[in-house]
Amino acid sequence: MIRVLFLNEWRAVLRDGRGLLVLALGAFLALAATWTSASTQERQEIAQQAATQAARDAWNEREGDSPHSRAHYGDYVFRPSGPLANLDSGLQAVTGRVIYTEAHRQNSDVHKPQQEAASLLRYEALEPASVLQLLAPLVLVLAGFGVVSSERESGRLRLLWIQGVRPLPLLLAKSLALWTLGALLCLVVVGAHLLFSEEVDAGRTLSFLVLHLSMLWVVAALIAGVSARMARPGTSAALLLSLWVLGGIIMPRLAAMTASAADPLPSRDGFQAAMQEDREQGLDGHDPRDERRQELERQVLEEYGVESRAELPVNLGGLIMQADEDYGAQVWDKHFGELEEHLQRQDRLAGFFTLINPIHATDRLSMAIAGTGLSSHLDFLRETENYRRELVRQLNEEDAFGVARNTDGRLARTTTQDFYTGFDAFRYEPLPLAELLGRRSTELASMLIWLFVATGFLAMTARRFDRRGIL
Amino acid sequence: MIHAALILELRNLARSPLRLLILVLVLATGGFVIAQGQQEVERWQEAIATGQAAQEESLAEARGYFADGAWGPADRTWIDLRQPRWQDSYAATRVAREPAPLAGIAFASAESGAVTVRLSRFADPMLAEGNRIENPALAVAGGLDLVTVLALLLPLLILALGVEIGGFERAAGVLPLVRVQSGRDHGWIWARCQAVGVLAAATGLILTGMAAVALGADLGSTAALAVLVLAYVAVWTALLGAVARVSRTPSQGAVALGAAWILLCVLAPSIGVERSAALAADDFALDLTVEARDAGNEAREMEEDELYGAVLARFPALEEHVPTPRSAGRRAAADGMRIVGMESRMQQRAERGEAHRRLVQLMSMLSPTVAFSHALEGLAGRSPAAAQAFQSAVADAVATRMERSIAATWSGEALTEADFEALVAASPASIEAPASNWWSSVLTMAIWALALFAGGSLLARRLQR
Repeated sequence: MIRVLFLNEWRAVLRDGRGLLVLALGAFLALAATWTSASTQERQEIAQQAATQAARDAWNEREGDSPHSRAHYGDYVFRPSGPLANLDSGLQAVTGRVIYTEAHRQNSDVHKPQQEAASLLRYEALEPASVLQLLAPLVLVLAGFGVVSSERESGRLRLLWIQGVRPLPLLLAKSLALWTLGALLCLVVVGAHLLFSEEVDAGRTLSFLVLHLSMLWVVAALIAGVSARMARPGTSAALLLSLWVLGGIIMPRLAAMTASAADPLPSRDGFQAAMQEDREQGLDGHDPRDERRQELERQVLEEYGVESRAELPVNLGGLIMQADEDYGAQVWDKHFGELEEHLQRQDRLAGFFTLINPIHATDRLSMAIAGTGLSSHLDFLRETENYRRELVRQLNEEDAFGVARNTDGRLARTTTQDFYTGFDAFRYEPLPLAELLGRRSTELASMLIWLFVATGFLAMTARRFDRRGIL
Repeated sequence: MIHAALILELRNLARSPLRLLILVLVLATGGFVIAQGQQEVERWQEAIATGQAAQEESLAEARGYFADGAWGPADRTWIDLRQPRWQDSYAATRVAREPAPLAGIAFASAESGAVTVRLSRFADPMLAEGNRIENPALAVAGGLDLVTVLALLLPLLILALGVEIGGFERAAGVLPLVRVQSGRDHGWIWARCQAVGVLAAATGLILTGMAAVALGADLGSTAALAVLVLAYVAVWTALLGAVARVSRTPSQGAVALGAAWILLCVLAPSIGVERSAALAADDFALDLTVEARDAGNEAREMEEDELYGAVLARFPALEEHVPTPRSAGRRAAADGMRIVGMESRMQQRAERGEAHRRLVQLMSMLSPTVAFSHALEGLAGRSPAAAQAFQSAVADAVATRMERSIAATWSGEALTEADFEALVAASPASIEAPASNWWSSVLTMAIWALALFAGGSLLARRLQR
């Protein structure tokens, strides 16, 4: 019976000009968004690789530096797109694309090129993820607000009842018909993604598809349930559109604002001042009167069994610089660790709103799957810092040990250009999908709860009508 | 007729708990975000105060050395305040970006430009960061401030209050009665729409008043905000009127109004966001990073004539300070090339930004919601134009510093306390937000309102025929 009712529902959609129009418009937007997004991401990846190469060329072509001068010259790291950024660009519009890595200090990510159009950034972008998370539910609302209430108003429901149609199969068939409408949009998006993308991560793409199909089932079941419970299609439309506005537009903003107001972040000045204060307790590498430096000098002289710097077979400056870097790394770990925990705390707080909003849960899971969410961003920052530390460590060690005493007793540098050209450029390996999803347990639980609640709501609505016999 | 319609809408409002709830929700959310905006402005001012405190500390340290007849700290003998580089370093004045009177209404703006910059001859305003550490996971949600409340919720209030207008009269058969009694059935529908508009305008103006009082805004800014709110309400009232004139049932009206809201408030802006992402796709700031760094090094390797020629073309007043032999001033001249490079990069960035600005203008024409939120951000001094004006002002100050530093280095004379004080006095303390061009948005919204009104009338006449 469900199959007959399901096919009948599809026939009704295909016969109704408005239904077809909404579906065609949705499919067009899905296709257009996937195509433009794929083209944007492709250009972005090419530009990112070109920028990385330009920085590498500048590094390799530079000559005549001492290792410490090279550490000050530094390197630039350009943020790559996430593995599935052409489906969900996530945080890319609001995070910087470039980090300058240099000796003595850790710099933030800078340059958000969409700042010039900042007035637009308070709105959602038209990309595949937002098409599926915002527009697909809307298509379902517009196609389905009268899926039961119109039948009731026209008296067709009573006819179906007389013919022996039971409420649960009827509601299931109508929900399934609506869901397949959404599933069609999902398939358009994923199909276009497979078509337009050069590299496809099958696991992530499949997860993205399953996630959105699940969310659309929740939406379809809620629409059918609400439509069945409302006496008039107009009331059903008003309620469903209000829920869509709340879930898609208002609640995510409210969640963000609540998290930000409940647990505010420190100001940049405050954060940097605290870090600077701790850093100043250590060696700065340039201050000959620093007590820690004197202590380190004493240790090194003792280690090499000599009386003065002039007798050392190594460059003490390089060792001091590295000791300062080691201390700076501890300071950074402490402060950035606290900041990271703070950011994640805020994020977790906003995550609790997913328990009342399946669209928000989908959005956050989608970013995690795409590798463009907060965890990926923080991991990228951490990896950049690791790269900086390794770069500076190698340079400091060369500064310390890449020397030899010549005949007049002076230290002469033995560093060759090959040493510099032997450095590897920064490469970022995205976090594995399982780890990213593991960090989104609240959202995963929320989606499961919503799947259960929406299906349960449908069953309860059917039972209510079964009991009362007033379909 | 408007009087009777207004009384009817007020009665409808009083009788409908749902409508009252929506009204209260809009006002309560507005009040909450205004309070949040107030806190955000306080944080902004704290950041400025922190910068000023650091500035005073640095100045006091330098003045202390002068008072003691010393030229720097005894334990760091290489510091010599008679040299231009150390005067520049100790005259660590901050240039503050003063918040506009209504800055708090747009605290969720994506524009995250710096609010204070430490001035030195090497400062780069293009890479200066904002005072807020932002959680990108929250920022990406789009934020909820008064701009969002007014741009997205105020139209929803109009929709909620007026969703049944026209459709109800036709479905319930009330229109013939109205026609018999007054002879103008469309006049009645339009009057009801205007009444809803008056209620929405009153709500918007209450929020405007609350914002003005809470944020301590001046009369001019408050009046501008009020005019923008009224223009925006006029657009949505005209849209309500157009739909009400043609909808046959309340559900038809609900769907049409809902679709219009989605189109203007969600879909049209989202196309703009995607387009701006496409414009920014290949921008990895090579000019501001790798190229800028290497340009500094290249300047040191320039031919002397070329180097002096470029520096003197930018700073003609330095001609009289050119040292003899010129090789003695090479290093300072190479530093001067940083300014030439920075200004050239700023110019290129401004040209690149032009495409984004044109996009925002286009989207403002296509969606009154974008026009409205863009105008409000401009009024709040949280627009890209405001950030750019601040950057330009800081760049000018940096160039002035560099010019003084080069002149002092080339002259080779030891600097004094008076020179230090002159350097501090010549540094701008704060930059006001530029006046925003909100009138163009009012004009755009007026055109929208008139077009919707005329379109609705034409459509109604056609359907009547």
